[in-house]
Amino acid sequence: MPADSRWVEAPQPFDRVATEAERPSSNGATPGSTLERELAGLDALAELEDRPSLFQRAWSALWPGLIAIGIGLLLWQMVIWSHWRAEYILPSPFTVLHDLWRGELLTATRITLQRAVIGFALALTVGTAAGLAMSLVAPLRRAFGAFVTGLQTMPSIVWFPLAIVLFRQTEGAIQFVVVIGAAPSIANGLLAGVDNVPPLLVRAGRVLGARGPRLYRNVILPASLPSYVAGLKQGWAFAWRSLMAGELIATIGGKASIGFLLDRDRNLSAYADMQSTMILILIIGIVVDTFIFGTVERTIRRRRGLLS
Amino acid sequence: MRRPGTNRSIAATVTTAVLLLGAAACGSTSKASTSANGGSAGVTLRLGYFPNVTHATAIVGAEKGIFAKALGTNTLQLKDYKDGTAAVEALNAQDLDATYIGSGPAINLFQKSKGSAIRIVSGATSGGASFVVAKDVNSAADLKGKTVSSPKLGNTQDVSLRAWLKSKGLQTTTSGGGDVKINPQDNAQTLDAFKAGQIAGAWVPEPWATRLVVEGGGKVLVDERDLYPSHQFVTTHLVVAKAFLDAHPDVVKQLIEGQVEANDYVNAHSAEAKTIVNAGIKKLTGKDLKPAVIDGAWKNLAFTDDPIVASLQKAATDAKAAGLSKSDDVTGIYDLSILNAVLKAHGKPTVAGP
Repeated sequence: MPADSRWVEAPQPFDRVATEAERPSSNGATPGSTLERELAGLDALAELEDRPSLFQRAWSALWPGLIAIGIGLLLWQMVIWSHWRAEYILPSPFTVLHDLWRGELLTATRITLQRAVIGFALALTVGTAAGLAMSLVAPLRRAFGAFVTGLQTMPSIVWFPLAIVLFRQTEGAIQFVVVIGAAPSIANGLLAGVDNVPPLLVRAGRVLGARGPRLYRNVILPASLPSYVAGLKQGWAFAWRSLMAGELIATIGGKASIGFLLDRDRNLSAYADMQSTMILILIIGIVVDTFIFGTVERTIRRRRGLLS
Repeated sequence: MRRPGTNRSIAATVTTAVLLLGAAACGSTSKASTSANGGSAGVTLRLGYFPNVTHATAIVGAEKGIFAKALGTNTLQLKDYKDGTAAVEALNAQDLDATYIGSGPAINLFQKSKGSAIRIVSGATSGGASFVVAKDVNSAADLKGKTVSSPKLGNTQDVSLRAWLKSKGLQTTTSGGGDVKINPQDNAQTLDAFKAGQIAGAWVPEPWATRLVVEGGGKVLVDERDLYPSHQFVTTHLVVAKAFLDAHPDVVKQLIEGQVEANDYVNAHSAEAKTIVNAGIKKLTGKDLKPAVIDGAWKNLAFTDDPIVASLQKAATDAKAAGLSKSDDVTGIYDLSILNAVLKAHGKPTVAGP
């Protein structure tokens, strides 16, 4: 890995220096006014100052994480060394990490992520529709706003007994709880975003001729995007928690999901496998948060000029 | 770039680490000081059991004060658990020293701990588990594509159910797939599901097997006793944490004295024992059993101190065949020396070891 990234980063800054440096000298070739060229030159200077190489950037993002992982593993190993619990109950990090290499985890991840995607997509649809409807129709909001917030504060696991009575131990029971756990956050995120659109933007939009649906599409919704994404992120966290709770509680015929493996290994006293499954759950959480929601958030910030 | 906060946050992390370790050290040393030289006195024995008819020995020993008397100056602390998983977790959390338990969880814990966690020191109950099915099921083949239940994945009856289906050519998976779907659930839920026709049958211990017949209108397809040459198999045995056995063998001996006496009582006074067991179950679960249920269940059980060593090996082999375990090795799981000494002192025949 390090070799790879060094290979990628090395040529980049020099390339950029070369092209930016060439620009002022090759005057005739660049179209546009002098002012434009000067501004471009200034931009290039700013970029040169602020932008460390890709490798440096990757390293500065990585090292605190690596140290944190190291400290975590060390703490874990120190608990092992203290002989607080027998090795088979609390195995060393190496045993547990080694147990991550189990074929069944791959299948389990596929089953669970499939459920997560379906559940989150449903929650996204329901939550967005509800949020939009409530932001458009004031009486709706007055009627259901408090109710939706109430739902959001309700731990979704309390829905499980009812879900199992309604749907028995089926996919339906799990999806029901995932949606009811995630949708309120998504709806509330959208509502909060619409509420917090600066009036100046709305007025400017009106002045430029945007009315009704166009005002919504071009001004209000884009302006409420960050809050909506925050709602999505929270919705995902709730959906993921509900899903894990559901899989622990409901065994659905023939599906060895992540939650099922956790419960199975608990019953079979296979604690090393159980803990490696927990690590997998942590990894999935981090990956989804960093790579999916992190990317979306960064894109939005970049579009708003908050990130270069 | 070095930020001023970095040092402080590292310091905070290290402090947390030290605190955690300190807490861990306290947890392990707080009760390690009661060591025995010669005879133990003032030792607390934490004994677990379940509110099931298959734990009749334990319920009688607890309710009649037999265990407490046998322990003399040592203290008895009784703890009841819903199932084997819960009891195993209590053993692992060092919250329990000995427990009555079935063969499935005992084998699992013994194997996973590489023999360091427990020893079986005595038998308690034999028999008392059946595969009860709906009226229209006449053979294993009729179960294809249907759902049946067991008390818990990997428990004694769950292992028997999977092994029996396999012997009839029906495959199962631990996640509830295969030719016959196995959906482990609480026995009370099993009864409701059976009454509602949601499951075609269940392999359960007493009193649930009899309740499925009496209250659920089912019929016995397999009496588990018929699967063993001696017509006997271990349902419940007495397991002691190895650390406790090493530290206080004399207290374990007192416990086994109580176990033998309790079984003697159950066998000699079955009418009284039934009443005591039913009252004990009511005390723990808030609900007593119908007389017909407890009578029916009792007929399927035998109370013996013999742990029926051969049947445990079959359970281990079955668990491996069902994919619940990687090994069927249970060498060293028994320590019957104390039991045999007690039996000999009472002029009773000793039991066979492995």
